[in-house]
Amino acid sequence: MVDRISSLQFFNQGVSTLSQRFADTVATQAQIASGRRVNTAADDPVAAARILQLEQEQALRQQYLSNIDNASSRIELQDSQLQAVVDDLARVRVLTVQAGSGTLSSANRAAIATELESVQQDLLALFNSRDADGEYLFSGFQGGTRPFEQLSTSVFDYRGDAGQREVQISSASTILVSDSGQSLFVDIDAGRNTFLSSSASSNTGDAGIFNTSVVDQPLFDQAFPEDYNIVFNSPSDVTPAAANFTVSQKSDGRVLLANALYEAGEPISFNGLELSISGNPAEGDVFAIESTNKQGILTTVGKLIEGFGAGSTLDSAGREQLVANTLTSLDNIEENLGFAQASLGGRLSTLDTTAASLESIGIITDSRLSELRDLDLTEAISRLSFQNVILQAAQQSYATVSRISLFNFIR
Amino acid sequence: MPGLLNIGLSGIRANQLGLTTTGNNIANANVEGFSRQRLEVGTRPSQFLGSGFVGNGVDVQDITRVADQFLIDQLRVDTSRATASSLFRSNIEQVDSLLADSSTGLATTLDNFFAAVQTGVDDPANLPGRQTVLNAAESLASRFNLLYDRFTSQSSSVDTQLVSASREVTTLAQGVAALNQQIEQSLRQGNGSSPNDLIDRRDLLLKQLADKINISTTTESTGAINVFLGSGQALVVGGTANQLSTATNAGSNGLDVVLQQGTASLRISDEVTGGELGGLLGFRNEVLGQVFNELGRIAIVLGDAVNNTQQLGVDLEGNLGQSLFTEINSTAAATARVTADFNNAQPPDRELSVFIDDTARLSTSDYELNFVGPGDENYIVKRLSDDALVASGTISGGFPVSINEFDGLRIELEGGSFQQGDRFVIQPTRFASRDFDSVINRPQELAYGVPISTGSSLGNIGTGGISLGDILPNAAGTAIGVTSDGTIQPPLIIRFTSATTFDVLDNSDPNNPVALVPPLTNIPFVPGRANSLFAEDSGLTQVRSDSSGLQFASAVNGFPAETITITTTDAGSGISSPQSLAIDANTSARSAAQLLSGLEGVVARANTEVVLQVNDAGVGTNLLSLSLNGEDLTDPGLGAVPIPVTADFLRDRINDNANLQASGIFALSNGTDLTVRSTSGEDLSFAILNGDAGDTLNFTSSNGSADVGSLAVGDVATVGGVLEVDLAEGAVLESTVGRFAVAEPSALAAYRGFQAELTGIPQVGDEFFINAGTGISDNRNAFILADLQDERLASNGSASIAEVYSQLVSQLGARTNQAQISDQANSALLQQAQANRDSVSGVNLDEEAARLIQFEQAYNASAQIINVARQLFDTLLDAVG
Repeated sequence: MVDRISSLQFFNQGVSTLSQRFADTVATQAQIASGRRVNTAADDPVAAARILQLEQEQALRQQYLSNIDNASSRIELQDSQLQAVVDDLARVRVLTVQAGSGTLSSANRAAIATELESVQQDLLALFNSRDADGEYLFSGFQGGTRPFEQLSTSVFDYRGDAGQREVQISSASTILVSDSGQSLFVDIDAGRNTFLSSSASSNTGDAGIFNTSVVDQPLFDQAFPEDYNIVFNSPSDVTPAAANFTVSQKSDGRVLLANALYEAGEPISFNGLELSISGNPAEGDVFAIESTNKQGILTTVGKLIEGFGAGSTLDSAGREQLVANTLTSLDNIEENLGFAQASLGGRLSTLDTTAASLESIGIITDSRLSELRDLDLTEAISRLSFQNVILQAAQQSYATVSRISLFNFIR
Repeated sequence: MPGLLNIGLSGIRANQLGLTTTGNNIANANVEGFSRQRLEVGTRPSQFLGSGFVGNGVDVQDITRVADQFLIDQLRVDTSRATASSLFRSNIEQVDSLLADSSTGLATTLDNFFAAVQTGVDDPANLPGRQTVLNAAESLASRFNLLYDRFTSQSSSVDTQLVSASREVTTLAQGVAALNQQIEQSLRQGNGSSPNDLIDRRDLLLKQLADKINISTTTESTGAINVFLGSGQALVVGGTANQLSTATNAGSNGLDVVLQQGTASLRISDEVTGGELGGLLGFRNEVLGQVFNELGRIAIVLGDAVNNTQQLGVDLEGNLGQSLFTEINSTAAATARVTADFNNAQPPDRELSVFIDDTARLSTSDYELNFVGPGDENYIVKRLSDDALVASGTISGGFPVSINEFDGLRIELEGGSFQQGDRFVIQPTRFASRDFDSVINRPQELAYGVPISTGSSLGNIGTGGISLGDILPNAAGTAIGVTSDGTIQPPLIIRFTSATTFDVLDNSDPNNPVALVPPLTNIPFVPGRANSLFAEDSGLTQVRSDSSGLQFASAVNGFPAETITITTTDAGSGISSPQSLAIDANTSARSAAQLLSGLEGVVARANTEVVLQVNDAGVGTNLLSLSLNGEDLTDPGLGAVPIPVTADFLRDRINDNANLQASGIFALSNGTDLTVRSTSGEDLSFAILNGDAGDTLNFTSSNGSADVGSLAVGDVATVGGVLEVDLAEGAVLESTVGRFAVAEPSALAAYRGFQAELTGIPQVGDEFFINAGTGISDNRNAFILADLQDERLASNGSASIAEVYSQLVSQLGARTNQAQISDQANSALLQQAQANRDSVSGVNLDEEAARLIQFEQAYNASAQIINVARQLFDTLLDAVG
């Protein structure tokens, strides 16, 4: 301790001490005003890094919650579309049973077929439904492509893919928010072997396939799962020149029908199946027949329409078989859709529980964040009043001491 | 009484001077740097007058200044420290608050960007959602640019202050030199009395000098003070002063401090630690450089990761994604990373640029490329953060030369006269946050989809499934598979030829799928687990062996003995390791494939196929009798044999034969043509054991190529299979001529750039498809994009982007905190030093008041002595008179 203090030193020190005390007071006041203990990283470097991390986690959590909201509304939209499909199918079942009654006239059956047609169109519209952005709900990743195209009453093409969209709902889990039309509406066990038909995209003629049916199930089952190609040859291959086609097995190229003459609408049958081609096929056009044990919903309804419609050639035994087949298919369809709806419900409940857990973690993070960042107000206010007392004492004592001078006494 | 009068006079003179000195002290009480002065008086030598020594009064000896040189020096040192730490602190606080604040830092915009990408995951086709991503990318880019600008302006304000501080140092040094001269002169003139005011003024100038830069001093016997900077560079010597100025430095870090000593100029930036200059330089070197580089690194890592992901994806219009942010290795950016030292030899013709090959390994350091000699071709690369030697070598040979593989960087020397002594500063990350920009304008161009779409045939009977498919790294522009515009070409169909084998075919014409080049057939499938379709080795090649053709009158396939050598060259080290395999004559393709697959880096498959017609005249006495690989195909014991024998009959016999089935041999028939295949590459050996003359087997092709020949009764014909050999990256197959028609059969690229997996239990005839993806409802790539937020992309895969940033903020916070503490300590020390100096040299008014009274009283008393002397004289005169 120096025992000699120069006057300038006393004044300088007084001023700097006062300004330091004042700065302390203002810093505390700033903390109280912002409510935060850590205003810049320098205030508490360790806490600052943790705060940045927690804030990022919090932002992510908000994002996950909004993902969950979006996923819920998407799943609910799908669920309501599926419910509409289920309702339509209930009507199909009623009409099928009704049409199976032997007492109906062909006019009555045709009326049923007409109603079935409107149900089928409704189903087609549901399968091709879109969300608010105009994306098709059931076409997998091909949201810009109409998934179901009708080629004839019972022939439909699926143009989507098997894509299923996932959305992140927490740092560790994702949830599926879409199902493809193929898995929902097409890949359904038919209960027996049947076949699909399609015309190649490279076809230049306008011919299409209709009235497809398995007429001899045992014979068809024997050749199953053989696939077939129907290829239209050059008209000059036969004399006189006329449209003609060749049916061959896909696996080994065996020819089943060679250069058969084409007659529009006439049934073509081989290996237990029967189908008709109508329109004007061009040379080189290809129609593919694929054996399968699956049958899509639209095809199931379409075959019913063809079997009961005005132009049907089915006898009563054939109709009975058709009704029995359809009922089996409807059972499988309902099972498939029921499974899909259960899965949607399961996803919705997963979303709910995930949201709840995210929110409770959010509360914990919030409190941790507040512990790190926020000010203990009681402590800060008492600190402020203490600093105030000190500042005032410093000011008063300075004023008192600075008034003392020997010159006051030299008179 | 002349003695008494003289004594009184000497007292008056001394005390008058005392009053003047005190008055001077009072008058200068508030003058900075003034040292209080004291009158030094001494008793006059007394006179021996017989009765003893009689006093003679007082003598004024000197007016001295009260000062302690140690305290003055200490004050100077503490001033340097305190100014440096206070400037350092105020500058770092600006950076700290800029980066840590959520409204000016990077964290919020980074979070916003990834949050916007998440909306793409939720709803990839939503255009307003995509626009949000573009807006967020835009504001992220402008935040990077803004931070760069702010730090640049801070850097240029540092430069401005360096310039003005250097000028002031020069002025002050000139002042000190001038004072040195005056003091020397005054000391000579004053006969040893010190020129107090000049010395005070010089001390004040030295303190102001210490406020600008750290100095050390020595005092000459003549009274002059020499001033030195840093490690002993002279600023003032006696009456001459050197100049301090600034000059641009190598690299782009702003100005250097330069001391001009006559014609020589010394760069002393590294020596300056104290004062204003020390604080500014310290801030620039320790803080600003690191902040620039760390921000740049974040920009590079983020930009590169986002761009790479974008480029693997497909946008809303079905096109391959483009970079969302500025390319990190654009020509402009690559050249800007190098600055040539201005001392490099003329002409300035060196062309070189720096590319970043691996952002994960990128550091925040700057580097230096030095041509150290001997000769012009030897160079070393040094990392400046720790002075580590990271690369060295020679550039002998022509340009271009690349200096590879240190910290993820690659230096390309394109040309110019590189010479010994050349020096280049390399700043890989410095400018990246300036160059960071968002370059996509249309929301449709965000590539949220993956350009691969898979599907299964509606006619599938088994329970097999195909995964959604992934694009692999380095996919674009693969020779086969992903085209340069990123679409999958040709579309593929996967067809199961049995429950455990499948073919992958070109499905360009869905009515007639054809084999791929190179072929991908008879791939084994393990039911019930995930089977990857393609190899993921981007250097994979395939070599196909040739067919021996049908060997008539032979029970063996006719392949000669041969030696196959596989030489694998490691891409990194260039070391080649050969593996040799001797294959005996007539070995079946199946055995050869097994042997080859035993070698490292080799996967071999084999298959055999032959097409024939059976020509059974069916009329003679002898029934046609046939065998395949020793199995009797016309054994009547197994059921009736038709006459004539048909292709269908043989097909059924072959397919029903358990031994043939075990060898993977099966047959197809279309009624006339019989196709016999072995999926494992067994030899197929046909014999007509018995029959009529004219009964023949007519062959039309073997292993896919026309091979016409006829087998008569009693004959045997054999065909061997072909090998498909997959070679890992760097592997080359050579062979003595045999199974391979040439010694070095050409290898075809087999890496497709995408992958899909087959699962479940498919059945024969089941089909799966792989097509180009359109990306409309596909969110898979958006998913990957969103995942980049948490992915550990930086620091060799140890930190995510957000973590790197929070590390920067916390390091900076810690540094700021430390700067605040040391600033407080240094200013307390300065106060203490100032107090110490002031307590010795400062004027205390009370003390001076007391002195005033003291001297006044003594003066009065001295006057009284004269009065007494006068009265004594008068008394004496009266007595005499």
